[in-house]
Amino acid sequence: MATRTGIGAPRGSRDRSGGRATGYNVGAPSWRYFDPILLVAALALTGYGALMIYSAALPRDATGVVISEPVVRHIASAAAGAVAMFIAARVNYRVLDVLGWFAYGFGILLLLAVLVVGVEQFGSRRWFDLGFTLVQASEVAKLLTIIGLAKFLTDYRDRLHEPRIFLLSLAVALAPALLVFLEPDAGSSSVFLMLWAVMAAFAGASVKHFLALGGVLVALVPAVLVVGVQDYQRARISSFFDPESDPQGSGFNVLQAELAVGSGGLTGKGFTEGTQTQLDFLRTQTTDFIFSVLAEELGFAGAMVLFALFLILILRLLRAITKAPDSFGQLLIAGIVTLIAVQTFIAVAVNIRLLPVTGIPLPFISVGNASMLVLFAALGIAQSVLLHRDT
Amino acid sequence: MGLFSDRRHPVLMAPGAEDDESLRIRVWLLGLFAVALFAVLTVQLVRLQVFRHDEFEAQATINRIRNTTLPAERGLIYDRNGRPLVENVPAFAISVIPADVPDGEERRIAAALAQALGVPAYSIEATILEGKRSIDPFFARLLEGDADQALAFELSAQASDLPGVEIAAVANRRYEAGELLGHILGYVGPITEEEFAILEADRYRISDRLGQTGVEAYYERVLRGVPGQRQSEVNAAGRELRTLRLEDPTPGNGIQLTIDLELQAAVHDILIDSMGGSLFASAVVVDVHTGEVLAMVSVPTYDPNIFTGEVDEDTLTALLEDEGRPLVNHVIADQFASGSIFKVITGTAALSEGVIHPDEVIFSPGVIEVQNEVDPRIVYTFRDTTSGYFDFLRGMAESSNVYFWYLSGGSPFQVAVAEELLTPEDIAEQRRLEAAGIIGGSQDFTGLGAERLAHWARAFGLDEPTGIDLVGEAAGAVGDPEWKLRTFGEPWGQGDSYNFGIGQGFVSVTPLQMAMVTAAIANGGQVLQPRVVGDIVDADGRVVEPFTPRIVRRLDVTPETLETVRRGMAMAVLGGTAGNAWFPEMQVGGKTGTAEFGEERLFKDEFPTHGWFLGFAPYEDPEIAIVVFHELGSGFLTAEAGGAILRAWGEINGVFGSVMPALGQLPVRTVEAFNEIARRLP
Repeated sequence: MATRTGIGAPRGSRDRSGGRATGYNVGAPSWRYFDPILLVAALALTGYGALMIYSAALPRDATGVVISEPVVRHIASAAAGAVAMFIAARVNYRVLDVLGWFAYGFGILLLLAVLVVGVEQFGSRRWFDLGFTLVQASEVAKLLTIIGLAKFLTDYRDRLHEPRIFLLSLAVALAPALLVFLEPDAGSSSVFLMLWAVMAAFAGASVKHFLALGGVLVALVPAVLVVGVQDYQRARISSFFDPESDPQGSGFNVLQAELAVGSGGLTGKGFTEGTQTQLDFLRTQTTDFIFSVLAEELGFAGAMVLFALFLILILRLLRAITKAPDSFGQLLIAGIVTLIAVQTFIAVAVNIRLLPVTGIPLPFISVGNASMLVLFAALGIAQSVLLHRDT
Repeated sequence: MGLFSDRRHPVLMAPGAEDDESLRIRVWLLGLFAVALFAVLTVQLVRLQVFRHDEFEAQATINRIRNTTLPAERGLIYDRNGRPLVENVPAFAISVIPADVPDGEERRIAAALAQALGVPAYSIEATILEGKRSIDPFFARLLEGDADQALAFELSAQASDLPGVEIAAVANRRYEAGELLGHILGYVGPITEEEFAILEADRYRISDRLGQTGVEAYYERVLRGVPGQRQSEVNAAGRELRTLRLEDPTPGNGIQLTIDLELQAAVHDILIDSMGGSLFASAVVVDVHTGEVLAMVSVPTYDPNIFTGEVDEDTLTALLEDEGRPLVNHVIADQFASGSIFKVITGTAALSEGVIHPDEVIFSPGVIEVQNEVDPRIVYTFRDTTSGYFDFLRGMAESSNVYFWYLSGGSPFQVAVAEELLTPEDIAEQRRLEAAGIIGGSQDFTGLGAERLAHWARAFGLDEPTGIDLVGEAAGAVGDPEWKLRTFGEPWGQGDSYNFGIGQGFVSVTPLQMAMVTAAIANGGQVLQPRVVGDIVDADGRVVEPFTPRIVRRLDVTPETLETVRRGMAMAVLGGTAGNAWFPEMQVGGKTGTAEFGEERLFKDEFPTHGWFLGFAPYEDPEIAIVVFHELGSGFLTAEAGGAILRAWGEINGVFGSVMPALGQLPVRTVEAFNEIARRLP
């Protein structure tokens, strides 16, 4: 434990014992520190997701087992993710410290590019078309922004009490958040801000600053609603508060999802037996409303298993923070915990009428190549912090 | 202070316990943050999945289950000889549910429908838009009730482009007999929004038709059958995926009318021919033993087929504006003063109550006077069209008002003997009867009085609906002293009793009621409930509910009394006012009535009149009773139509030859000749 460096320690203070001070990627990873539980939890979630996607995408006249395209896609992207995880684990996470601003800048570049060359779907420009698949730019940018925030908060750790630095740290997240908001994708935009808020708090930002900022935001809310909210967002928000006003239109999905979840009860209607799911009352079942499929067919018990898997994952990540050798590593993992927890919360909340519909994928469960790859890569980074803690 | 601050730690910080402690706290807080998020989700899940589970489960079931009503085939209707009278013609009903038409799509959908249906697009668009604003935008508006298969297929093919448009297989009724049976069969028509609200529970569909009047309405439950139901699972797009439960419909039962279509047609023609200037006329023929209605005609009539599809506005307007009120069945729904046909009731009552002996003679000078009870200075004059000496047969045959005034109200205040009205023969007869001591009608002759008259009128079934199996029957009215006091605040006078006894004043009756009175006289005193429906049969023609005559009550009369009344009626045809009803092939009985109504005409005591005739046949062993009514007519002329109807019945049923031919009509109007004919009556 002698090599443990406290948070807030500047870069130069890092321990370079063992004579491997020639670079950041010098220490060989210690695979004995690899956390298999983290991997198993992630794989369990992915498998759980595959089951739900299987049910959601089951053709209505299917007899026997029909492995549909979304299931294959899900498993394939999970496999690719697992590879990405091992690569990321192998690479010393300190490379990200050096390349932090490049990574962050690349994320910003992606978000700018998607606004120009992105593919438009459902009135929103969020995706790059790679020919064989669509990649949601903001998914990649989330991880890159975590790196950028971790770097900034580490570098300016001791000046974070200055309002200017506090606001600058906000700017780091605000830039991608605004670009994502322009796509438009208010849901993902809010994830960026949550990443900043939690990471900044974890880094030790002042409560007073948060309160002051909060006050300003509340004052701005009416202006934002009038100017900045798109029509489709207004429809989503109004259908969230009063879905019965248009039960066949924009409120349909919200009502049907709530119905699916509620009718699932304690133990659910049985795998592939959910009427809301199988009779297509639920829309976008493999993405936005995947949780409704789970809650309908496997019930409250199924949802609790899901939450338990997420909590195991998060607990292992929290454990990894305590093992992290430096504040940069700690902040990286804190950001990853936030990413998973906040996205899970939002993705589930829209299914049970706690939040208006946003296009946030449920981590490891929803179909989504970029999301899956990024999440596994993020876990890889956390593993890297563990593997390189002695270097 | 930082949120999780450890700012007090030096910049260059050696690893140590204090630092570990700070990190531990921050990790804990981060963990708590994550757990809090999941806790919020869990609480909401418990709310939805545990506490509100039942509610959502029920809604999810409604979501996926669709109940489709399978209409049963409507029962058919036949005449008494098994002739089919209606046909079920397969058709398609096209309707629109305004609420299901997306906003902004109204014009496009209206245009598409207009092209297919040949209706102006603006009117369909107006229907949709008005429907959306109405109280019940989910109530389907019927656009076309009689679309053919080609049109239905064409629209089904475009179903996905026409949200809110519904196509349902229906069966429309075609009434083979057209206007001949309009009032009896009635028709089935579209269900109104108000009716649907009540009927929905009985599995009616909005595209269904409902019996609106006549037998179709009265026997709706019999004819309709029991609709089936298919419960199927549907997906979100509304496509049926599988049938969960199937309940086959049970076809409606058939109905055999008591009506003889041939007789009905004959009666119809006779009425049309005899109407003259009457706005309307009606006739009914009933079986005196069972109450079965063999024919029931009210003209002008209407063709029920015009109501089965979309009703043509002009046709409907013409029907509603026709002064003869073609939509009204005047046999059952209209009530009038009965006039002299009421004398069969007065006569039966007087004989039964012992007010008079059939042979007792009353002298009529043609005019009597009645003193006002309150103010004796006011004296009313009651004029008659005939005069002389009347026993029961002659009184009935000649329809002497004076004779029946005596029977109903007793001897008058003053008999104004107008000698100039009397023929020398009358005077000679008077002398002879006085000498023989059998002349009646003295100053102290007591009549029936209002109470007994009212009692008998009601016993015969007046003042209440006959209970026929048709909708819209009128009850008629019989006013008695108590009623008059209550209604007008005036006491009953002798003049009121006089009016009562000859079917004027406070009496009003329907032709059907009088037919049942006649039947009771003809059948020995049973007041029957008339029916237009005989057996109820199933789809295979097996009788499921046989016809049974229903007796309303038995009159307290002797056979001899009724025979006397029937003799009087026979003599009215042979040698009295109903002579126009006479025909040679069969002996019949009848009674005319010329009922005054409305306002006095130009001259005093001149009123417009309705023509009545009631009769029965054959005389010896009566089988049928009839009533004929002519608006704005006279009994003498109506009797002719009555005779024609009786004759038509005899002809159709082959009765001629099996009964004794009728006696010849009275050639000379003398008492001797009259008595001679009466003696020859069986």
